[in-house]
Amino acid sequence: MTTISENQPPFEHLLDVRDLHVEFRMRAGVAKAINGVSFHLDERETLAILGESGSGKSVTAQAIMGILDSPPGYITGGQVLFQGADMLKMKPKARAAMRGPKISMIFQDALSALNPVFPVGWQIAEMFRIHRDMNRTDAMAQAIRLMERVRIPGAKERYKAYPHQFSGGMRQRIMIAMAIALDPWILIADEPTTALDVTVQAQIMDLLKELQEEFGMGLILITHDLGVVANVADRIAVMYAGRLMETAPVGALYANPRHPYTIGLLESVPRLDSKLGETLPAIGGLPPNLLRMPAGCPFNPRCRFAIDKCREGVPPDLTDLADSVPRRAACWRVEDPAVTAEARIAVGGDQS
Amino acid sequence: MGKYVVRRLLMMIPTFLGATLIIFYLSFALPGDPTAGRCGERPCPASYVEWFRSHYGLDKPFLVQYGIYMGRLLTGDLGTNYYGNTVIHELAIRYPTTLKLAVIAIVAEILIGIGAGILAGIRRGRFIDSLVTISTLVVIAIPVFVLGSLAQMVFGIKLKWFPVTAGDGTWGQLLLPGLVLGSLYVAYVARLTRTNLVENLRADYVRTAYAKGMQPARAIGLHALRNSLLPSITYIGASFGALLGGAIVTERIFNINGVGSLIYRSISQRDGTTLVGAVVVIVVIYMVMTLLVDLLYGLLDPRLRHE
Repeated sequence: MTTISENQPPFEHLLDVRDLHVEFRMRAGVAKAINGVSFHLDERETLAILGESGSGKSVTAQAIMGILDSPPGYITGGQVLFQGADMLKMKPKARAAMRGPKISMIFQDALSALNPVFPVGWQIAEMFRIHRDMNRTDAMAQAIRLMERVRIPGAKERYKAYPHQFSGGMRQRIMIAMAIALDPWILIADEPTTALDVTVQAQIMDLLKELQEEFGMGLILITHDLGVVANVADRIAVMYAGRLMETAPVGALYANPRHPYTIGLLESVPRLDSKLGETLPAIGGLPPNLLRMPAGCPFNPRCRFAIDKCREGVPPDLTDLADSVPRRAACWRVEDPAVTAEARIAVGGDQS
Repeated sequence: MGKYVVRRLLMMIPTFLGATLIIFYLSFALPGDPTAGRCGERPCPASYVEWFRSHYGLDKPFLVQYGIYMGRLLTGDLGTNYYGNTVIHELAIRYPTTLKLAVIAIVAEILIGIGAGILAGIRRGRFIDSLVTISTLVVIAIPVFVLGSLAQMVFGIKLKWFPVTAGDGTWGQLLLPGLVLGSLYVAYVARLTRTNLVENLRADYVRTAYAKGMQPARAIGLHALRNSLLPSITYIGASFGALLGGAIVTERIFNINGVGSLIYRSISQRDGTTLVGAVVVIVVIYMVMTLLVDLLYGLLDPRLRHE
């Protein structure tokens, strides 16, 4: 299934998001949640979208899936190309038919994401019933197969159990089974481990990684957890106030962050070699209110490198950086030696 | 499950004792004389009053009377009223009518109440939503004796769509009174359904339903609605219990010979036996209905199952 038939139009990437804009029209005003986000995802690749709460990670995922709450959310511009075809131009029915077999999603809180009044097995089987018109018995067999695949003990006996009868980790496994049921090309995982305790987190991430390799999926991992990203992702996109601040392969980003926001994030990670009693550095201030965005770069009020240029006019675009790997950052001062020097200090000296 | 039912049934005993004690005391304390008017225009002779009071045990202290009554009740005897009719007979001839009224009201609750609630919920903020919100508010605000008289006047007398009274208790005659009786419950059901649907449409599992590729018809009609209707179903069940207790005002307006009229008459004629007997039956029906609703809720919502 990973080969594409010849008669399909050629496309550069499996998923190509171009200049996406989303706004929320509310009584208090228009909140510009996503402001020109562009990224791509290839087959078998894992892209991590990293950002604070309210940075627009989940909204980006929902816009790609086409499940944005509307009203109040509206996609006001851009393209979401799946295998070269713009999903934003599709009719709702065609769009819905893609959710499951082409692209699927798992959510942060599996307890509320699963319907409390239907058995979990039934909810997995539902995928086969709505997309493949499968009969009850066959769909049930498929669901049990998937429950076994995500390693739910006693899958057959637990087919009829309800979500509240499972532990948090098991519920997330059910969600995963549901999402991979129809062998999708892309899986979006929106904070899949945030609600789980640390040991279970690792199990779920391992499972996701394993399934990604088995099914050859592209994985978009949305998280605020720098630790989760480091082990799993191929590339990282750092998001702030509805914009991408920096994108880079995971190794390059951790070894050498270039955007001041990324530098700040990595500085705030606790380190084993820090002295006892030392205060953990933090980025001062709060993310901007989306209803009242500052002029210039959205990060400028919290940026220690900000100059006059950063505080006026339009924010900088993502631009290619001179490096051995393809990476981009949206900062006027990114090539400034002063910033570059700080970046090296941030990650604990030049390791190269 | 079985344990739960047994516990609930046992809990009915104190409820039942408390309810009968209160109603028995109230009818005992009611001012007035049951022998008044039994002897034409003249007051009854003292010898008759004395015979009457001792025959019906009215000369005994309250607790003794209550004890005797409860003793008979345990053998299934609701007593014989001052007119020589058994209370069971009085209730038996009126319950079919009350049941019909209740059924009409319940059907209206299910069809109109739930229907309007769903429409308003999925068209939140639109015209139909405002229409439902305002019209239910009007119905809730108007007392039933105003609504009943108004309906009788407009649909019965002016438009002649319905019979003006319902003395025979046929389905056709009871339709208008049944709708009047149900209107308040219909309004509450509509509001309850709307509120719950609006809330559930924003629920995470509905978003999951869309993420699974469902069309809105299934995401809303199956996933959101299934959860939204739980409180409405409970409410409708409880209202059925209440409706089976008879409707004094509505029955009076439309001259219906149901349980409500029986209770009204027994109060005005100081017929304590009938009054207490009727209330005892109503209390039992209500308790059983409540238990059935609670069991139904557990069946519909697996989180509340009584294991």
